[in-house]
Amino acid sequence: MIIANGKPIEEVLKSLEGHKKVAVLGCRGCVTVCLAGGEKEVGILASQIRMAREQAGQPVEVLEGTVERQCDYEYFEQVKDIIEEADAIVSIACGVGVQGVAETFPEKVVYPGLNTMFMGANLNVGVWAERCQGCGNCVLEISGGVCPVARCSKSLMNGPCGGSQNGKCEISKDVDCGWQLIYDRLSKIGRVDSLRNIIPPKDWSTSRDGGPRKLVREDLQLESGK
Amino acid sequence: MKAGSNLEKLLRAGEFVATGEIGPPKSCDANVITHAGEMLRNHADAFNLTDNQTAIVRMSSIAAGKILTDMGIDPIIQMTCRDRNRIGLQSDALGAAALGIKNVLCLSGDHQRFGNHPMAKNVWDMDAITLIQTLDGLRKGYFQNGEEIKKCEPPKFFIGCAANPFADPFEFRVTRLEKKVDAGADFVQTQCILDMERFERWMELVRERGLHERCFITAGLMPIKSAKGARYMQKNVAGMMVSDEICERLEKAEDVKAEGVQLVVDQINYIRKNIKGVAGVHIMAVAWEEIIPTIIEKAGLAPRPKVS
Amino acid sequence: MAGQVARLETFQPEIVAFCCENSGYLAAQMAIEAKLSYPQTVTLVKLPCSGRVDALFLLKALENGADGVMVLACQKENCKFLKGNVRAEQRIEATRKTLQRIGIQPERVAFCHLAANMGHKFVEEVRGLYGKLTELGPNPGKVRK
Repeated sequence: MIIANGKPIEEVLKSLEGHKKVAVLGCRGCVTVCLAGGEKEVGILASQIRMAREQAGQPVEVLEGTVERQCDYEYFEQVKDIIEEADAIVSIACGVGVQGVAETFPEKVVYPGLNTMFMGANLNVGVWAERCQGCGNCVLEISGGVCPVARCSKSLMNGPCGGSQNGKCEISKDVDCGWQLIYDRLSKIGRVDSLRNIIPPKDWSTSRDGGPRKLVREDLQLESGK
Repeated sequence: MKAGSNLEKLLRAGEFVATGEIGPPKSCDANVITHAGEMLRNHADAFNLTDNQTAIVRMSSIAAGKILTDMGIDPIIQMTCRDRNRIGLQSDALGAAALGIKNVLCLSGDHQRFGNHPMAKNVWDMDAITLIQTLDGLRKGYFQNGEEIKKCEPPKFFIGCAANPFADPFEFRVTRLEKKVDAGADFVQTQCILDMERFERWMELVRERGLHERCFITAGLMPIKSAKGARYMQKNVAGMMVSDEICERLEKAEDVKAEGVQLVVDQINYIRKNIKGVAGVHIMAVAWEEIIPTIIEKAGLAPRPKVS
Repeated sequence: MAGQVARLETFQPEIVAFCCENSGYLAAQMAIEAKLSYPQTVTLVKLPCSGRVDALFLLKALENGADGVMVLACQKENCKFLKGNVRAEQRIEATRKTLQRIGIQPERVAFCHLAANMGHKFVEEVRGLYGKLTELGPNPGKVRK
């Protein structure tokens, strides 16, 4: 899922300076699961904003709302009232949701309440780690199910580089060397010999490097959507 | 002969080569390069010019290489994949060839996290291995995309690479070198050897695969000025291994600098006498370049041979 | 000046105490039965475990009129749900930091470990926070006054 983390409250308060009525908008998708932007976090942020502004002598009215998914724009219909009533929206969905608010309510001011970080897994309570970069051209079949793009600090296709020692990456002893993981996995499944082959430079055109991406599936498209 | 650089000619003539390293300045002061060039000329066969080493912004290795070329000194320009994509790398390689630079050392490059611009975006469109392959392609007349280089002779490169016997997984290190040789590497410079036993084990594997006959292997050496520095590298520098023996030797020394020099001299003698398949030494005297002539002299490698 | 002094004198801090039903709440009951005197502006909220406490509870209490909040948890290593009291303490620490960053004194949030039979300790803790809040004055962040 998409992992996000709350922006420093100071940053949010700075964005909201001068606004009299704001709506904090949560999302029940990924950010609820990673405890950053669900209904509870809406309550916490709204409360923080009210108290911060109260003690600063600049009270503000804060409306609260949470939708099923801010990346499916039809759900905004449910919170249309509070959005229209507010003079600014703080979306605590991922960056997709913030843009969803902006696209759906073109005349409204919208601010991000979270920093969207990565696509990752929940390794333990309170611990998330990156696993995928969405390069659009998956290579996991050759790397034993460990992604060199996301897990090697240099996204090398022919690692490990000379900075790999004791299973750790040169950037930090807290970061596993992605290529050591690949090597270990391929050893376990009896395919380590495949690393003898040179993997050619990756085609990055399917990644962000090819420009903003869009997926259209004609088998799913509705006539009305065309 | 691939490019006919001084380094290549000597290696092909079977000479035991000695190369050095010059770190370009953190400025546009060309005198730093000319001064180092004058000081080191004739004391080694070719000199590496580091490419923004440890991700600290410095004068371009190609520009610094051109300054040496003009002085009649053979440069080895380092190229890392950290800061340039395949477009920039090929363009710069063509530019280097146009300026008369022949030796190119292909590296992945240090991560920028510990450099002086840690907020930079990195590239790594390619890695060291595919960069070698790309330069090999260029000298065969093709760009990385397969397009032919037209209306001109292809550039000539003597392609180098690094190998780190001290990184992990150990058994894969030789395979990775083999991949580099397959990709087209002509010569190799190892990470500095501060653990001779491990280097010997690695060389054994290299010889088993016959890699010493497919490329020239030069042993990386580093004179160390301080015992504390040695311990620091032992504990904190990723991809380095420093034996306790070396640390203790420096710790016990009265004149640590002299001991540091003697250590490298001993290493050179040991390698020449005992380790088959090593074609030369590469001396990385970081911020201590002036010591290179002394080491060469003491190791009996002076005067450097001349080739035409 | 005189008016201000008068106001401070009449200021009676409102406290919301979140109590674990296995310790804090029972201790409070004991204090009541034993007729121990403690400030009457304390509102008790019974929780199945102190681990049920959440930043949201604490913030909403402060926003809605409390001058201070407290969490009364079981003794260390003595949580019926094993780690509830540990997690409560982690959340309280995080809430204190948050409050500090929005200009509200973190001392307005108190936390203590106690056992079910410690009515006196309950009173002591409540009085302690009450005294501190009297010095701090009204919660500047409360929206409902």
